[in-house]
Amino acid sequence: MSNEWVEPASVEVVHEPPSPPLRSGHDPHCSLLIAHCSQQFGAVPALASVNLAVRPGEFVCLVGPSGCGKTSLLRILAGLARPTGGTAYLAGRVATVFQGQSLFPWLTAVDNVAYGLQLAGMPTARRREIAIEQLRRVGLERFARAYPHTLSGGMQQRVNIARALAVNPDVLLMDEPFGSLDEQTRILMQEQLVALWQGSDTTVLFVTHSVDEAVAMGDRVCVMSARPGRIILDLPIDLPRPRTRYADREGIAFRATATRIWNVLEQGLRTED
Amino acid sequence: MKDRTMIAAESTEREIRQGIRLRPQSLPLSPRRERWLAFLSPLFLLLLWEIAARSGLLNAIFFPPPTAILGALKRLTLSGELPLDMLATTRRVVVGFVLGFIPAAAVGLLMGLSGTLRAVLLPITSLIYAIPKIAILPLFLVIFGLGEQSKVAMIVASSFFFVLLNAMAGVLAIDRLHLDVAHAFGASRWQVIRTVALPGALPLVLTGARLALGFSLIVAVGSEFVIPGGHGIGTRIWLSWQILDIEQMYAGLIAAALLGVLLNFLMDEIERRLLPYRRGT
Ligand SMILES: Nc1ncnc2c1ncn2[C@@H]1O[C@H](COP(=O)(O)OP(=O)(O)O)[C@@H](O)[C@H]1O
Ligand SMILES: [Mg+2]
Repeated sequence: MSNEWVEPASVEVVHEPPSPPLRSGHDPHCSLLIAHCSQQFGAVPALASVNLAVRPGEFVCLVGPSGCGKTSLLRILAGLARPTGGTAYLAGRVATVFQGQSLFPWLTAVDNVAYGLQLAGMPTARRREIAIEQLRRVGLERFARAYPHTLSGGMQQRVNIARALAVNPDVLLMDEPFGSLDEQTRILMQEQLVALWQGSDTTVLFVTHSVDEAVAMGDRVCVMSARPGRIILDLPIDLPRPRTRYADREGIAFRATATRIWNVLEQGLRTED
Repeated sequence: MKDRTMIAAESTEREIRQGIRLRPQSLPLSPRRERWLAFLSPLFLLLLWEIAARSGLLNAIFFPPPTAILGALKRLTLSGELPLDMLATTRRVVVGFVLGFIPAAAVGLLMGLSGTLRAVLLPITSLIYAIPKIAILPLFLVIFGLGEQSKVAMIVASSFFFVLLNAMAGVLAIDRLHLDVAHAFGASRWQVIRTVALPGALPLVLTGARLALGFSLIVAVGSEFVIPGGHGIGTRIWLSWQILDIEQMYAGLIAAALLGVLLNFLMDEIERRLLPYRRGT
């Protein structure tokens, strides 16, 4: 069974990975499976045969240049778009942290966090209770009644993460969630996210364009080529955790891994032109 | 095309309203001093006016001294006539506005949600919207007769299109990302409408309501000029022209201004309550 998996240690550039057959129902070995997925916007090919399999509880970072189709891929996984080719399969409940300012400006922090539970029909008192608990986990319970525009960018992103975690997802999709934050806040948030993830059994697919961020957080880093996006490297990160702090990134092993990813990224950019 | 015009009109209006409240950057005044100036400058102007009218510098037939206008205002208030006029005009504006607002908000929101409905209704509504509403008055006189019904119908008609087009623009202006969030969390179509479309469109719906109320007052006074009978600020002003009682005319103008300010204040209060997240932005 496990041989059906992309074995990243031996395969560096994955051209045609063994594609596990799609099964209906719950596959205990597979939390997220993308097979030969392609996406075409009119004449523009955004994704070209993407293959990716993620084990339950794994933290996978997806790195790629701007416009390579990362958001398009997440939209397919979140059920917001249909791929023009191939299939995507997701086990269990999914929640998404979107790129950009996606909190509802007309809801307070606590009601934003409770949104998914509200849709599920949970009574107000009960869902607020859960939402407050989630806010406490991201250190924002004092701001429960604040409206998003009164919060800083980092706080808004924490509310955003709390909103996704409140529905207790099996799979968490995150689209450049820290992209707009300053460097210090960003490192702090990476640390907090890894801590939240370690205390849960959630599978995370984390999209970023920062190589350092990917290496600091992921169990695996997948690199996408320039448009049309394909996965051109699937690399397990064996570096010891925690490795989110600045000092952790200065280690030789960390830098070697980052450099290796950078080289593949650059190659991916060149082949496009 | 039309909805962009409406959004532009909305933002211009907002800018003007904010501009009034903003202090000029170059002249930072303390709030206390600003309040005093705001209070004293009209008083000073009135004093100048009084002196000019009494000394014959201003023609007192057109510009009677403020004290004389105040006298007329007091007389008409104590006799109960002016309060009755204000009440009658307010009633017409409120009834007509509500009758126009409810269907307009509903249809406008639906037009924002459904491309088909928009394609069917937008050309015709844009066309009717372009008609200066006062031009419809003779038609309404034919349909509803020379009375109360025509006055209210005018207000309904002028409210309707402001609210309709702004409600539609409100839905269209909703951030796509917010719709994506709703769908990603598994919202049903009705849940998307209730949790995103309605709250997202509300600011522009209220802008439409504010414009509609303002125009309702104009149209109400205009209709009262033309259609005799009953109380009304317009009726009062028109009567003063016919009997050339200029002081009473000014009293009517003051009553109209007061009503305008009151309606604006009402809208401020409604916006403050319905859009609490906009407070202080
Ligand atoms: N709805 C769409 N219609 C047309 N083109 C699109 C659409 N969404 C994305 N694209 C194009 O597809 C490519 C990939 O976009 P995206 O997935 O947002 O990239 P990324 O998130 O990696 O920056 C881009 O060139 C973008 O312009
Ligand atoms: Mg993107």
